Amino acid sequence: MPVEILIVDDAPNIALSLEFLMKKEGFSVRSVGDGEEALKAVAEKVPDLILLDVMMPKRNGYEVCQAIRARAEWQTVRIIMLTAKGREVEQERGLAMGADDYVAKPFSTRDLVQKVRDMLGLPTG
Amino acid sequence: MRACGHNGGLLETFGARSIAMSPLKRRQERLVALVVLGGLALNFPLLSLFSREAFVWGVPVLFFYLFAFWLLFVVLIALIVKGKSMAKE
Amino acid sequence: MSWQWIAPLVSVAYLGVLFALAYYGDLRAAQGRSLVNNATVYTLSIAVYCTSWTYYGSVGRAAVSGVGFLPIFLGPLLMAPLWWFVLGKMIAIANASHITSIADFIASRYGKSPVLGGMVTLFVIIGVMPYIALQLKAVAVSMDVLVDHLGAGLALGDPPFLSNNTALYVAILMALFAILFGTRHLDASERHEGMVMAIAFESLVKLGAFLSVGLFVTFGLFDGFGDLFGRAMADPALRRLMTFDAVPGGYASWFSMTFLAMMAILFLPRQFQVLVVENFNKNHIRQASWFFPLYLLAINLFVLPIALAGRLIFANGAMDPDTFVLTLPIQAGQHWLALLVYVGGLSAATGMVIVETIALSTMVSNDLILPLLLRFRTVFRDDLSGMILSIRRGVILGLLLLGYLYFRLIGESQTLVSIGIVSFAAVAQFAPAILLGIYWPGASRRGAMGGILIGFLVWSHTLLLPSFAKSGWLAGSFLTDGPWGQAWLKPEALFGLTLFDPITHSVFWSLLANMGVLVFISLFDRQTTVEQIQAMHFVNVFDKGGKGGNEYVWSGFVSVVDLKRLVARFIGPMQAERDFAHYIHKRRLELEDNAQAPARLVAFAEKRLTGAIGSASARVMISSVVIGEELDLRGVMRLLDETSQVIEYSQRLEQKSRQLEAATRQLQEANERLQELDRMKDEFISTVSHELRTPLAAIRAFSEILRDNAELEASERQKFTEIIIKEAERLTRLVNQTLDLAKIESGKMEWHISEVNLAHIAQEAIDATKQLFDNKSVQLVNKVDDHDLMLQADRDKMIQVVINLLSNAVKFCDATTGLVEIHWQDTEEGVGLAVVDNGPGIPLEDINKVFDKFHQVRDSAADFLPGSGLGLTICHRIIERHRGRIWVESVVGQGSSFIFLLPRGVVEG
Repeated sequence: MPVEILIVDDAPNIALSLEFLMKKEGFSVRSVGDGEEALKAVAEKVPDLILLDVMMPKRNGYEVCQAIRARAEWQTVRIIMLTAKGREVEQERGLAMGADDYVAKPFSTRDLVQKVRDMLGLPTG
Repeated sequence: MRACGHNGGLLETFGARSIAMSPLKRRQERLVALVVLGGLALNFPLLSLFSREAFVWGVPVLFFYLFAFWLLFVVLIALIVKGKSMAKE
Repeated sequence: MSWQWIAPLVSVAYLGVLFALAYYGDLRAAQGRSLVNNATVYTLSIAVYCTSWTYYGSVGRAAVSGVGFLPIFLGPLLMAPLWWFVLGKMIAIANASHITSIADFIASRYGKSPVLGGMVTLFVIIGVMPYIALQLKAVAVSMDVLVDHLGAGLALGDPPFLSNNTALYVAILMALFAILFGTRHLDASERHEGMVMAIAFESLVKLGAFLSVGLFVTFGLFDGFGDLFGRAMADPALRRLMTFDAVPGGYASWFSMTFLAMMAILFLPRQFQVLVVENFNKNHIRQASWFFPLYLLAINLFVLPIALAGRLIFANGAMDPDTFVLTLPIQAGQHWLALLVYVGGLSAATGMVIVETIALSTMVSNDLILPLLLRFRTVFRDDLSGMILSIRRGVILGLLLLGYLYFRLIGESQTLVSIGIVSFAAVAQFAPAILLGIYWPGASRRGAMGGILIGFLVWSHTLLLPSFAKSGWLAGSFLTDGPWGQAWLKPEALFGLTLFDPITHSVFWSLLANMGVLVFISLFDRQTTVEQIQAMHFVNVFDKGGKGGNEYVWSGFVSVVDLKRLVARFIGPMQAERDFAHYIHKRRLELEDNAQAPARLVAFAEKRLTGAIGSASARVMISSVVIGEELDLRGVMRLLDETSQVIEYSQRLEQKSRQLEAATRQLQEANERLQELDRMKDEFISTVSHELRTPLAAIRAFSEILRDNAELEASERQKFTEIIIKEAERLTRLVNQTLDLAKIESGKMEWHISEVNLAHIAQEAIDATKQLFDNKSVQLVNKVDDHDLMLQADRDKMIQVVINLLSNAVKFCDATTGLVEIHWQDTEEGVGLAVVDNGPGIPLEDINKVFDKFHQVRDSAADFLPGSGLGLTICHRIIERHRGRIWVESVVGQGSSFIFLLPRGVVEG
C-alpha cells in the first residue's frame, strides 16, 4: 500500500511543486486549497502525512491541525506545517497545536523530502 | 463640519462671557475712583481752598462748595450705577 | 385743650398711625403682595440713619461749629458708591447663610464662633446704648419744650425744664411699640416688612417737617439765603461759622468723623438691619446708592440756615441750640408748625429706637441668650418659639430701660452730638473684621476676636470712660492724670499723643490697635476647617456652586460594612463596592470591613447617597445606621480642628492624584495608539514577509526541481520555468508596490501635478492592461471615450490607479463571461471614473476593508491571480493625496463598481 500524502496549500504553484516532489518519491498524493477541504479529505481517507500550509482562507493551518488532533482515530497522521511567516513564535504555536514538524518557506526541496521520509520511517533516499 | 460648528459655539460662549464681565468690573473701578475723588475733594487740603468769608450768590463759599459737590457726587453715582442688572448673575 | 395734653396725645396718635401702617405692611407681605419690594421704600428705610440726633443735634452742632455737623452725612455720601459691590456682597452673603444680624455676620464669617457672636453682641449693646439714650433725651426734651413753651409762652432765659419722668414714659412707650412691631411672631428670615413700611413713612415725615421748618425760617423769618447769610456775616460772633475755622478739631477731626460715619452707615445695627436683613432685592441698592445721599442732602440743606437764624434770633445765647428747630417756630407763634416739627423729631427718634432695639433683640436672643440656654437644653426640649419671643420682648424693654438709665446717669450732662459719636466710634470697631472678612480669606477667628476686643478696650478707655468722667461718674483725675496716675495712659492723650481732638484720638488708637491685631494674629494663625470653609463661603459668595460649607460631621458608630450595605441599597452593590474601594484606596486608608467607619467615610457615604436620593433623605438614611448622637457644634469644631490639617493634605493629594490620573490617562491613550501602530507595523511586516516568501518558495522549489530532475520532459520544464518567471514578476511587482506605498505613507513620494484629462488616462491604462484581459478572455468596454474630464493631478499616479482598478477587476471576473466597463463620472464633488465588473461582488461586511493592505490575500480564493494585495491600498492613498474619494459599491453575485472622484480644483504639489 503506497504512502498517502495530503497537500494543503492555497498557493497553487507551491502546491504544484510539492505534488511533484511527493509523487517523485512514489507517494500517493492528494492536494487541496483550503482548511475545510483538508478536513473533508482527511475524513474521506486518513492520510499518512499532511503537508499543511498555515496561512489559508477559511480555516487556517493551526485550526486544521487542532481539529485533526482532537479526533482519536486520526492520531496516527503525521503533520508537517509549512509557513511563510518565519518567526519562532509561529513555529512554537504550530508544534503546540500538535504538528510534528515545521518547515519555513521558502524551503529546500531536498530537506523537505528528507524530513518527510524520516517522519514516515523510510530509509534515507 | 459639525466639529467646526461646535468649536465656534465654544468660542462664542467664552467671548460673550468675557465681554459680559468687563462692564461690571469697569463700573466697580469707576465707583472706587469716585470714592477716592470724593475723599480728596471733601478733605484737607482741597477743602481749605473754600474756607473763606465770601459769598457765591449770597451763600457762603464753603457751604456752597460742599453742597454743590454733594449734588455733583450724587449725579455721578447715579450715572455710574445706572445700566443693566448689578448682580453677577 | 392744654398743650400739656396735646403733645402726648399727638405722640400716641402718631404711633398709632405708624402701627396701622406696619400692620398693613405685614398683611400685604403675608398675602405675597409686598409693599417693600420697591427701591424707594428701601431708600427711605435707610434714612433711619437720620435720627433725632440729625433732627435736633445737627442744628445744635452747626450753631457752634458751622459746617462741622456735615461729616456725619458726608461719610454715607462717600460710602454710597461702594454700596453697589460691598453692600451687594454683604447681602449676598447674608442671604446665602441666613444671617440676621451683624453679630451673626461676624460670628458666621469666623468659623461660626459663638464666643465671637456673643462678644460682638455685648459690645454692640455697650456701644449703642448711648445712642438709644440720646433718642430718649431728644424726645423728652422736645416734648418738654413743646409743653412748657407752648403752655406758658416762651420764657427766654429759662433753660427748658427737663422732666425725668417724661423720658421714662417715652422709653416705656417706645418699648411697647418696638415689641408690638418686632416681636409679634417669629420669622426665620427676621424680616419685618411692616416695620420697614413704617420706617419709610417716618423718613418722609421727618424730611417733610424739617424742610417745612427750614423753608419757614429761611423765607418766613428771613428774606431767603442771601438775607440770612448776609446778616450772619455781619455778626462778628457768627462770621467765623462760615469758614472751616469753626470746626472743632479742624481737618483731622473732620476726616475722622467722616470716616466714622462711613463705617456707621454700614455697621450700625439698625443700618445693617435695614440695609442687609430687610433688603428685598439686591437691585434696590442701585437706586439707594444715589437716592439716599440725595435725601441726606435735602435734610441737611437747612441745618446751617436754621442754626444761624437761631443764633441771630436768640442772640443772648440762652436757648439750647439743640432745640432751635422747635423754638424758632414757637418764638414766631407758629404753634402748629412746632407741633409738626415735634412729630418729625418723634419720627426720627422712634424710627431709630424701633429698628435698633429690634435688631439688638434678635442679636441678644440669638447670639447671647440662646447659646447659653441651649447649653443646658435638657430643660428646654419642647417648642422654643414662645420662649424666644418672650426673651426678645424682655430684651427690648431691658434695652430701653438701660437707655433711660444711661440718660439719667450720664446723658444730661452732654450734648446730643457728643453722645452719638461715641456710638459711631464703637461700631467702627466691627469694620475691620467685616470688611477684611469678606475680601481676605486669611482673616482668622482669633485675629478678629483679638482685634475687636482690643479695639473695644481702647474705645472704652479713650471715649466711653472719659464721658463717664465728664459726667462726674468717675473721678476727674482719671482724665487729667490718667488712671492710677499713669500719665501715658491718659485717656485723651494715650502715649502722650495730644495732636488730635478726643474723637480722632480715640478712632486713631482704637482702629490702629484693632486692625493691627487682626492682621497680625491672622497672619500667624492657623485657621480651623470650619473657619476656612466659612471664609471661602464669604469671600467667594458670588461663585456659583462654591465650596460647600454645609457638610455635616457625624459621630457615633457605624461599621464600614454597614455603611457600604446602606449605600449599596441605593446605588447597587457593585457600584458601592467600587466607590468605597476607590475612596479608601485614594486616601490610603486601611480599613477592615468590621472597623468603625471614620467620620470622613461617613461623610463620603452621605455625599454619595445625596447624589442618588437627595440631601435630606441621605441625611435620614445615614442617621438610621449611625449609632450614637450627632455631635454638638462644639464637638464638630473640635473634631474639625483636629482633622483640618489632614483634610487639607488630603485635598491637596486628591488634586494631585486627579492631575496624575489625567496625565496617566493621556499616557495610556498615547501608549495604546503607539501599540496599535506597532501592532499594525508588525502585521504589515509579517504580511509582507508572507507575501514575499510565498513566491520565493515557489521559485526556489521549482528551481531546485529543475536542478535535481534533469530527466524532466521539455513541456514540463517549460511549464515550471514559466511558473518561476511569473512568480518572479509577482515578486518584483510586490516589492515595487510596497516601496511605493511606503513612499506615499512617509510623504516622500514626488508628485508631478499637471493638467490632465481622465479620458486619456483611462485609455492609457486600458492599453497597459490589454494583455491581462486578453489572457483571461474578459471583455473590456471603454465608455469614457473622448469625454473631457480635465483636472489637476499627477498623470503617472492616476494611470497607476486605473491600472490597479482594472487588474483588480479582471482578477475577479470569470474567464470568458467576464465583463469590465469603465465609465466617466462628473458630479458637483468633482470628476472621476468608475470601473465596473460582473464578478462575484463583495460581501457587505468586507466592503470597508477592500482598501486595507493585503486584504484580498486573506480571504479570497481567487489568489490564483497575480496581485500583491497592495494595489487597492495604493489607489486609495493616491486618490486621498489628490483630496479625492474612492469607494466601492457592490452587490454579491452581480459585481462591483470601484468609483473615484477628484475635485476639479488645483492640488498644491
